[in-house]
Amino acid sequence: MIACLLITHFYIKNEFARNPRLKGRPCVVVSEEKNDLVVIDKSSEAANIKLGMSYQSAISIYKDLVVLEADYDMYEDVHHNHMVIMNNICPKVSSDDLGIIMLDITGLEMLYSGMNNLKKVLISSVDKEFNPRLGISDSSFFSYIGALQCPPNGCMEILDNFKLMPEIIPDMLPIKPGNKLKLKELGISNLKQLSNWEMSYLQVQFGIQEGKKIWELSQGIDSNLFRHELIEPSLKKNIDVDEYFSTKQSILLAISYGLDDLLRNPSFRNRSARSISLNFRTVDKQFWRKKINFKEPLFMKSKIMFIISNVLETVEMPGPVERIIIELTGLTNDFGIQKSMFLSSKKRDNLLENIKQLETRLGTKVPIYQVKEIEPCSKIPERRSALTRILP
Amino acid sequence: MFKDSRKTFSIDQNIALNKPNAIDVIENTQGFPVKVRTKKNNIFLPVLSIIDLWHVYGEWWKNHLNSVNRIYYRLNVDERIITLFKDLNSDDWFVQHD
Repeated sequence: MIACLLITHFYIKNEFARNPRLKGRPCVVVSEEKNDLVVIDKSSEAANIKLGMSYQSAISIYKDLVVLEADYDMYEDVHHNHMVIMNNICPKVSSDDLGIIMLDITGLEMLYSGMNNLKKVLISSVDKEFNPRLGISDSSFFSYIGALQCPPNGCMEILDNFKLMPEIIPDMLPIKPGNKLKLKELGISNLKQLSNWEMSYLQVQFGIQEGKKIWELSQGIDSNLFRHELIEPSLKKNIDVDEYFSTKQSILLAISYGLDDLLRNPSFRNRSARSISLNFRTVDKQFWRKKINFKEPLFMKSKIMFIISNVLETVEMPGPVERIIIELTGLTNDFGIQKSMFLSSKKRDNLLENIKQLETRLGTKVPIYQVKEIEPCSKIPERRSALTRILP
Repeated sequence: MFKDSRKTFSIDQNIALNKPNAIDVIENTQGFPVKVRTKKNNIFLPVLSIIDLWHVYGEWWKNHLNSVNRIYYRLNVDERIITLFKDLNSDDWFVQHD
């Protein structure tokens, strides 16, 4: 059984969660596409605005329209948090798009003493202001359609995929945009109209793969396999400034404050991080990302900062930075480092290796000696110890 | 006894630590050091006191010049403590750290 947790108008709901004062006002979220600002989401008060409309056309419709620039970093953060929450309930989770989470809930109802309880747990685990919808079916596509059909904070379990056919319009199908348009041009307004078509007719019109896919969906078959994702636990911190960070010192200071917050986070207690991701956004909207993998899991700020400052020392920033996102990834349950019993032999091996490398590089023997006791009890001081070459 | 051999230094060679260095010493009639010319100041400084002295005699089975026959002195010179010895085979003075 596949469940689909759907949050419609994901972008605008995120903006409302960030700034509740926007509720009840006509708002649109715009994003840059092909050098043009295009509406990608809208509030219910901006009903006359269509998605994909240009920014200029949108503001001409509503005088008091609130225009918000898409903050994909924040949307992805919230989506990732939802994925982590869902992963705590169900081990098999996947997502193709922001606001859509698929869960393989086969057999999970036994853990939650019944399907009804499981549905309640899934819906209540997401904030109510996001109005999640839950669709349950035997396949991903039909559970998504079920989620689309059900009311906010509600659930729809689909037992017979055929019953849904009249509700499925071409725009809902997981096919190329050109083929969706073609279906409309053929006068197809829902999937039920295709149920009598033969597969070969559809393959002639839409190609072998897409034609087969459309035919299968019209017969209530979704052949797409559920591929679950491995959700990596991480901790993220966004640092925004009104001005900008122009020097490496100021960037390092900001990272240091951000790290303080992350390391104090209760979910980092008794844990270590294997790597850290630093994402920078410059004033002219360029993105720059650096992932640093640690040799061993770290939990101490001083060590992490030392590595970061070493890395930043060698890189050249593309411009003044207006946003820094710090993400601790690869969180482990290691707390403390086990010391080697044979530390001295390891040190000696490392030293010998380094000397060998140095000799290879210089092409000659290097005068590196160690003090060796010859006759430690001798009455003659110059007989007691001598300098001998470390490498034989 | 400790003359420079003028051989080319080989990197494989072991280097003895605490090798004695020749030093100028003025003795009194009894053979005790009274003035020492240190390398640092290049002037003779008076010996303020003899703190300790001991005799080292070894390798007596070798011939006369190759045996070790030294008298060590721990001296207070210019408020610093230094260790000297007199090679009784050659009557030369040397400074040496313990």
